Amino acid sequence: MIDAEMMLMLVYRLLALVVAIMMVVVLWRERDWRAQLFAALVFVPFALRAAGVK
Amino acid sequence: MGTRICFSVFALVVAVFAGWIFRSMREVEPIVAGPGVIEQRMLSAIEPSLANGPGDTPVFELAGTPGGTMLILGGTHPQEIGGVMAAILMVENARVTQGRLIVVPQANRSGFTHTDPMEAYLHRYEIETPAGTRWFRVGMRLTNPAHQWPDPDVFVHQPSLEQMVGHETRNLNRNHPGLARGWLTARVSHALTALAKEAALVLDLHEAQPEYPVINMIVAHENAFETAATASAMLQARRIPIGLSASPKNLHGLSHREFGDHAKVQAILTESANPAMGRFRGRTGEALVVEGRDPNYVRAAALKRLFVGFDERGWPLRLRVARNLASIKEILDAYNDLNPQSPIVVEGIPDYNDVVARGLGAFLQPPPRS
Repeated sequence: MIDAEMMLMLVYRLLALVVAIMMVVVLWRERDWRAQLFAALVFVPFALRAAGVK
Repeated sequence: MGTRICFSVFALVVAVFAGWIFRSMREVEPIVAGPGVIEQRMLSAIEPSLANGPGDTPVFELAGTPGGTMLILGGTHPQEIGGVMAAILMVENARVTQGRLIVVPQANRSGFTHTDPMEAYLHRYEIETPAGTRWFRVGMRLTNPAHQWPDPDVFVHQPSLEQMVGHETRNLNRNHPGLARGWLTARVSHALTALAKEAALVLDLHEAQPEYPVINMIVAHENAFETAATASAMLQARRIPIGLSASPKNLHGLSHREFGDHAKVQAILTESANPAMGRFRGRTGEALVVEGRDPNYVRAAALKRLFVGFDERGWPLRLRVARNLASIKEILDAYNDLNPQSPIVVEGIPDYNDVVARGLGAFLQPPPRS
């Protein structure tokens, strides 16, 4: 059964996943290598949080 | 296109490597049931909602003929390893001839699965035993945010309604007496409060940084003050200086307050000196975590910035654990003197001088064969 706490955690992880996906989009859209690097760095913690690892 | 591919590969490699490190902290170190353990169960036996989750933790029971019951908690704050190791040494060495001893060495087990971000903490440390190497995790003060998130802006403690900073919602020692239908940390607390209700005496083993005023101290609920004062006096007489402090009545969520108020037990908390937790510390390697040595703290002591003495010998883990074990013995002796109708008689507690001289490895069980 999904309780309120679990629902909140699922929403939070979904948000983290959305941000991680957005970073991938930015990485592939941006022409400036610095913006690409920033997107790559920001991707890491959001991907880990979305996966529930960290 | 080239930089995009390079950065994509870079991000994936970093994510996989970091993920592997974080996942490795979920590997559980063995705690070996000693000769006095008669039963081992999980906390979920009391609070079924914890079953197979990150808050479920082993509960060891040692018992003899009928008498009183004592509950010992280690790892309420997992990085306070002097308390964790003292609880583990009790599980692996103690024998109860009368009464009952319940030991939970990793009270907040979720907290063992991560460390404080940006603090460069050691993830695990090793202790050599005559039969091989044992390893233990360091962990962090709070429940892992991967297990309980998000934090509220303001944490409102139940039932006192005291307001605290949001992340304290993941601090087990601000959640007592807990909630049956609450967040993970509150449910762990609720189960521990139920265990405390089985006991007459509860001891929660903690550590603090040397610059924190409540250090090398026994903090006692008014229910336990006579026991704690007697124990403190006996420790002073043995040249193991450990002070005494009364549990503040308006500071809620802490074990020494809420177990006394809600479980009606003699609730006591101890604090030993752990330089690996402090803000003055340098590199947080094994020299600091296990040996307790740090030149920054020697300088801080010379500048009179600390509440404990600190020299080149530092505050090694073996000394802190020895002090915790001596405290357990003196608290038990004091309790038995004051409550002769329901004593708790425990043998095999490693002696203070032996632990200091021979180290922790001499008192740990051999590592289990995998």
